[in-house]
Amino acid sequence: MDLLLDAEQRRFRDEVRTFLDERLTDELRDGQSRTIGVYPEPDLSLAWQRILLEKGWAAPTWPTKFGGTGWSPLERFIFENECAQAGAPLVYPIGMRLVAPVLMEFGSPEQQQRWLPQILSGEDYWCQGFSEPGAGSDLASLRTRATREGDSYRINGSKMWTTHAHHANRMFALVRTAETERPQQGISFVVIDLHQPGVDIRPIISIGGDHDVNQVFLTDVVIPADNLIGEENHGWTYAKYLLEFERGTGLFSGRLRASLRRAEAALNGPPSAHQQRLIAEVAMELDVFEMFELSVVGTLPNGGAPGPVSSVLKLRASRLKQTVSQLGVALLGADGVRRVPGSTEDVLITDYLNARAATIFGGAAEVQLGIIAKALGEL
Amino acid sequence: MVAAGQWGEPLTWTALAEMGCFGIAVAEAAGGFGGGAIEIGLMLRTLGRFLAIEPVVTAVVAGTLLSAASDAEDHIAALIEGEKRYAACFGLSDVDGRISGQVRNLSGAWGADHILAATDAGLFLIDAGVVVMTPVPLLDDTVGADFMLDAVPAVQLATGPDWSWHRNLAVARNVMARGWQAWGAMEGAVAATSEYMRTRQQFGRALGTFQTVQHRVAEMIVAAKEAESAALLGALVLEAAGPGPEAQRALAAMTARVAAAAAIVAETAVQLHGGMGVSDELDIAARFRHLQAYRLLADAEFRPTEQYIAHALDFQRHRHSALLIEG
Repeated sequence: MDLLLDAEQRRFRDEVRTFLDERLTDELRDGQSRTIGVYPEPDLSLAWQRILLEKGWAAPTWPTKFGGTGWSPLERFIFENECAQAGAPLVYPIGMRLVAPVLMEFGSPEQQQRWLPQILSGEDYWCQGFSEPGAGSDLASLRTRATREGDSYRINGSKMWTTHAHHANRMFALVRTAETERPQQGISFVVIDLHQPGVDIRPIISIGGDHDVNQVFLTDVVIPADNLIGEENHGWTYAKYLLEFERGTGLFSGRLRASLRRAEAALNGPPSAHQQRLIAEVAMELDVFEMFELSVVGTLPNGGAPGPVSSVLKLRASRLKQTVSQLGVALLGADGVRRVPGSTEDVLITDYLNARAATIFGGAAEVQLGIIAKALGEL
Repeated sequence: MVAAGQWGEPLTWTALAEMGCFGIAVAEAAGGFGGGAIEIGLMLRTLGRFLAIEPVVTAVVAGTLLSAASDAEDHIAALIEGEKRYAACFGLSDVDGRISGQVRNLSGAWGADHILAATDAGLFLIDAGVVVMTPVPLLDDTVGADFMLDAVPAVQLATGPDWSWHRNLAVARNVMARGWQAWGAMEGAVAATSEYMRTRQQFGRALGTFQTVQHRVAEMIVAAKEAESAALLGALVLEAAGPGPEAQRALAAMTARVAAAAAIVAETAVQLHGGMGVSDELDIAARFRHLQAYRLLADAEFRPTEQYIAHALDFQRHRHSALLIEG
C-alpha cells in the first residue's frame, strides 16, 4: 500500500475538490454541520444525492454494472475524505449501502431492476426492519410473522428503533415464516411497501430529544410473494451478509474528523494546554483509526464483503464516535450543560447524547465482542 | 526465545546476522539490503512475537546511521556480519571531535565494540573500550548501560548537508521499530491467551466458554488490531514522506496508541492466565515486562502527546487526513 498520491490520484482529488467547490452549496454545508441525528434529514441528503447522481458519483460502493463509479478503494477513500472535509451531507446509507448489496447478491434480476435504480435516484427511501420490542441483541428471536396466502404474504407484528421510517416508503424486514428448533432457520427477508393500509409508524424520542427512530406496527399488511428476497427461511444468511456491509464498508474517519473540527470551532479563542492535550489524544486515536479503516476497506474489491473483521471496525468506529462527541462537550467546559435551542453548544450536547446509540445499534458492542471472540479468537 | 540472563549470547547474535537482520536497515549504496520501514517493521514484529529480546533495534539504528557515512565499508561489513556490535545514542554534544554527555539505560551498549554518537554536527565513532560502563538490568530482561562521556576522542564518520536527514531517519526508525516489536509481542500474548482459554478447565469446562472471558479476549484482539494499524500508519507515512513533519505526526500517534494497546493486552493476558500469569513458568510474565518497559520508555523518551501537539496541532495538521500525503 503506497500512501503517496501519484499524479493520477492527485488529479482525481482535484477533480473532486473542484466539483465540491462548484456544487456544494452553503445551505447544504450548513445543514450537515447542524445535523445531530445519525443521518441528515432526507431533504438535505437527497438534494446532495441528486447532485452526485448528475455527476455519476452517487454510488461509490456499487459495481459499475449497477451504476457504481468503478473507483479503487483509495479513490473512494479520497472522495469520502474530501466530501467530509468540505462538509457535504452524508448520503443516506440504508438503501445504498445496506440493502443494495443484498439485492445484488441474492435478489432476482427482476428485483434488482425493480429496486436498485430507485435507490440510486433517491426516488425510494428505505428503512431497516430488523429489531423488535422483544428482539434487540437477540435478533433471531424476532416474532413478526409472515403467512403465505397464494401469491402474497400477510404480515403481522411490529418493528422497533426503525431509523427514518417516518421518511421511508420501503422497508426491508426480517420476518418469521416457520417455527423451527433453531430460530435462525425460520426467518425470511422481505420487502414491504410502507404506503399501504395496516402500517402504523409512531415516533420514539431519543435521549438527545429528537425524532430519528420509530416503532412500526404491521397489522394484516399484505405484500406480493415476489417481494421475498432469495429463498424462504434463508433470511438469516442474507441478514448476516447485510450486517457485514453495515458494519464494515462505511468510511467514517473523514466524518469523525469533521466532528472534531466542529468541536474545536466551538472554542472561544485558542485552546488551553489542557484542551490541547484532550484534542491531541482524540486526534491520535483518529489518525490510527483512519489507517485501520483504509486497511480493511482498502483491501475490498468493489461490492466485496469484509468478513468478521467488520465487527472490529464497527466496535472501533462506534467507540470513537462517542470519544469525539464527548470531546465536543468536554471542550465546552461548564457551558456543556447549557441546552439553549439552536445554539452551537446544543448541537454538540445533542450529538454527544445521541452518540450513545452508536455502541447499541447495528449489533451492540457486546454482540461484536462475542463475534470477535468466536471468529477471530476461536473461542 | 532467549531467557533472561542469556542476553548477548554470541551464537544467537551470529544466527541473527546469518538471517540478515543487521543488513536490512543499511542503504543499498552503502552495501546493505536497503530495506524500508515496512521491511524493518516486519522483522521487529516477528522478533517481538517470539519475544527475542536481543537489541536488534539498536542494530537497525546503527545501520541507518552508518549509511550516512562516506567511508565506513569496514564498519558496515562488521555490523552486517555480526562481527562487531554498535550501540547508538543521540543527544550528546561534540566539541572539536570530542564527545561529551551523560547516557542512561542505553540498549545494546553493554558488550558493544563501538558507540555511535549522532550529534547535531555529524556521526562520531567511539571505541567502547575507552568508556567506563555500568550494566543495568532492565525491566524487559535486557541489559542497559549507564556511562558518562567527558570529551572522549571520536572519529567523525559523517557530516554535511544531508546529515540531519539521516539522523532524523534514524530517530524515526528507532521509534517505529520499537512500536512494531511491541505489536509483535502483543500478537504473541493474544495467541497464547486464546490458546490457554481454549484448554484450561475450571468449573468443569474450558475458561474460554465463559462470556466474561470471551469479551476480555476480544478486547485484547481489538487492542492488538489497533496496534497493528498504528504500526502500519507509522511505517507507511515514514516510507512515503521521509522523516519530516508528517512522519513525526504519524509516529506520535502510532506510539500513543501502541502504548495504550500494550496496556490492555499485557494486563489482560496476565489476568486471564491467573496464577500462571504471575509466575515465570510461561512467557506471559516476560511479555508483560517487555510491554510495560515499552510503555514507560515510549512515554518518557518520546512524549507522544507533546510531539503530536508540536507537529500536528500547532500547524492544524490534525484537521486533515494523516494518510493522504502529497507526492
